[in-house]
Amino acid sequence: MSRPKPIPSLNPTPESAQEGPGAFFELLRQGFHQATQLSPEVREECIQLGAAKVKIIFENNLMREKLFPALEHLTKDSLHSSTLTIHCWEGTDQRAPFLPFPWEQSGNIKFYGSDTFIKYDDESDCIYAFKPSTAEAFFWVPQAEAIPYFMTGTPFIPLWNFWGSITPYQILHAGAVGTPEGGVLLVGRGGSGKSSTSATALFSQLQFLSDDYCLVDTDQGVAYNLFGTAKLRPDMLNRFPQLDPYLVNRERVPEEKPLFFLNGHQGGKNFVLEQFPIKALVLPKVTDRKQAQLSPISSGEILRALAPSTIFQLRDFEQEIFRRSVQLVQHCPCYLFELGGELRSLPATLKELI
Amino acid sequence: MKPANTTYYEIANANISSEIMDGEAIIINMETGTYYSLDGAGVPIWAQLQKGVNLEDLSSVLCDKYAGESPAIEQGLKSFVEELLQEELIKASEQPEGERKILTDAEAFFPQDKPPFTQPQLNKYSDMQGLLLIDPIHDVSEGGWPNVPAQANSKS
Repeated sequence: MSRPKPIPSLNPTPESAQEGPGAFFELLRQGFHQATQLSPEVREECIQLGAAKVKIIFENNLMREKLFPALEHLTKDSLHSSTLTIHCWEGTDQRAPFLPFPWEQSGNIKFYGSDTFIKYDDESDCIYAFKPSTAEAFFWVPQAEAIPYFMTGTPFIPLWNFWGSITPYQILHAGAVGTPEGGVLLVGRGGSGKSSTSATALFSQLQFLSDDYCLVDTDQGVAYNLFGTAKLRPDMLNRFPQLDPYLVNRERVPEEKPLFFLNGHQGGKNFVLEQFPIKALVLPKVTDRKQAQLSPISSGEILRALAPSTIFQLRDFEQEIFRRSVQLVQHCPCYLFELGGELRSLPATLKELI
Repeated sequence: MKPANTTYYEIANANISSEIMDGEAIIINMETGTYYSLDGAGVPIWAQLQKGVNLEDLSSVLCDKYAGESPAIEQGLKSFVEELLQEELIKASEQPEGERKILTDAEAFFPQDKPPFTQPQLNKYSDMQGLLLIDPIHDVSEGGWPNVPAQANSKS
C-alpha cells in the first residue's frame, strides 16, 4: 500500500515531542480525535474481563462490525472505572497525521519508549499502541474493510498482552474447557490438537472457554474467556457437523480457516463459559489410539509446551510471560492427553481431572 | 573457544530465561526462538552458571557429588560448557573480585547419593524459530519521529 504524503503544516507540539514514540502516540490521539469529530457513528462499548472493565470506542459501525462480535458476549452496562480504553478508527489524510511512518524499515515494527508501545503489523497493515501510565490504547487501520478474518475472530491480541503488564490478566496460547467449578488448560503449539479437543466440549458435559487464547490470572489460578470464537482446521469440519450453524466464512474455506461464533452472535446460542479455576494443565498429543488416555507428565514438559508458543507468538513482555507460565505450572498438576480416534470420549476423560 | 579451567562463565545475556522444576531445566532464548531442556548433571551445572562460576570450582564439586574418574568428569564438563557456549547460552566473563562462592544456590540440585556421572545432554527445540524467521519484527530506536532517519532525509 503506498503511503500518503506528509501533511506539511502538521507539527507536534513541543510538549509531545519529548520522545519519538511519545510524539507518535500523541499523533495517534489527534488522528482518532479527527476521525470521531467527522463520524456520526461513534459507539462506545464496555466489556468485563475478570474483575476489570475495558472500554472500546469505535469510530464507525464498520469498525465495530469487524472487531466487536468476538467480544460482545462480555458486554457490561457500566462504563465506570475502566482499566483500559481502546480507541479504534480507520482512514488516512487528516485521520492519520502520523503518516508517513517515521521509520525507514519495512515489515513489522516495534517502536517503543519508556511509557509507550507502538507496534506496526505489516501483514494486517495496522497500528497497535499502548500507554501503561494512562491505560490508553489505539488501534488504527487504513481501511476497516481490509481487516482480516482472523482479526475479526481474535481482535486486539497485542493490546491484551500489553494490558497484562498493568493487570493480573495474562493472555496465553491455550485452549480451555471445564465447568464453573473447574477446568483444564490445553497447551501446545499449533496443530497439537488444542482446538479440536476444545471443540469436543461444546456438546458435552463440559463447556468451552477457549480454543486458542484465553486470559489467565496466574496468581489466582483462574482462566477467563476472552474471545467468543473458535477456529478449526478445514479437514476437521466434517467431524463437527453440529457447529455448522455457527460457521461464518464457509465460502472462503479453505483459504481461510473455518471461523465459528460461539457466543450468541447473530442470535445463536452462547456456548461460552466465562471463567473457571484451573485444575490441571494438559498437553494433547494426536495418536492412533482408539481411546483417549491421560497420564501424568513433568512440569518441565508442560512448561516447554506452554511458554514458547505463547512467547514467540506474542513477542512482547517475554520475560513476564515466562514468569507467569512458570507460576502456573508450579501450582497445577500436569498431564499428557493422548488423543484417540473417538472424539466424543474426550470430554468424559478430561472431566476426571475436574 | 575451548573452555579453560580458570575461566569464569555466566549466562550470556538478558534474552536467556530459564527455570528449574522437577529436576529439569527449561531454557528459552527469547531472541532466537530456540528453547532447551536439561536434566541429570546438567541441572546443577546450569543452576551454578546462573550465578556465575569458574570451571575449576565446578569440576571440583562435580567430582565430589558424582562417582567417576575425575579426568572423565572434567572432560564431560568441558564438552558441555563448550556446547552451551556454541549455543550462546553462556559467555566467558571476568571473575568477580572477592570470595569465590560456589554452589550455595545449586546445592539443592545435586544428588545426595553420589550416582555415576553421565554426560549432560542439552536438548534443543527449534520448532518456534520459524515464527521469528518468517515474520521478523524490527526494533526502531526512540530517536524516531520527529528525528527522521538520515537516509530518509537524503532521499528528499
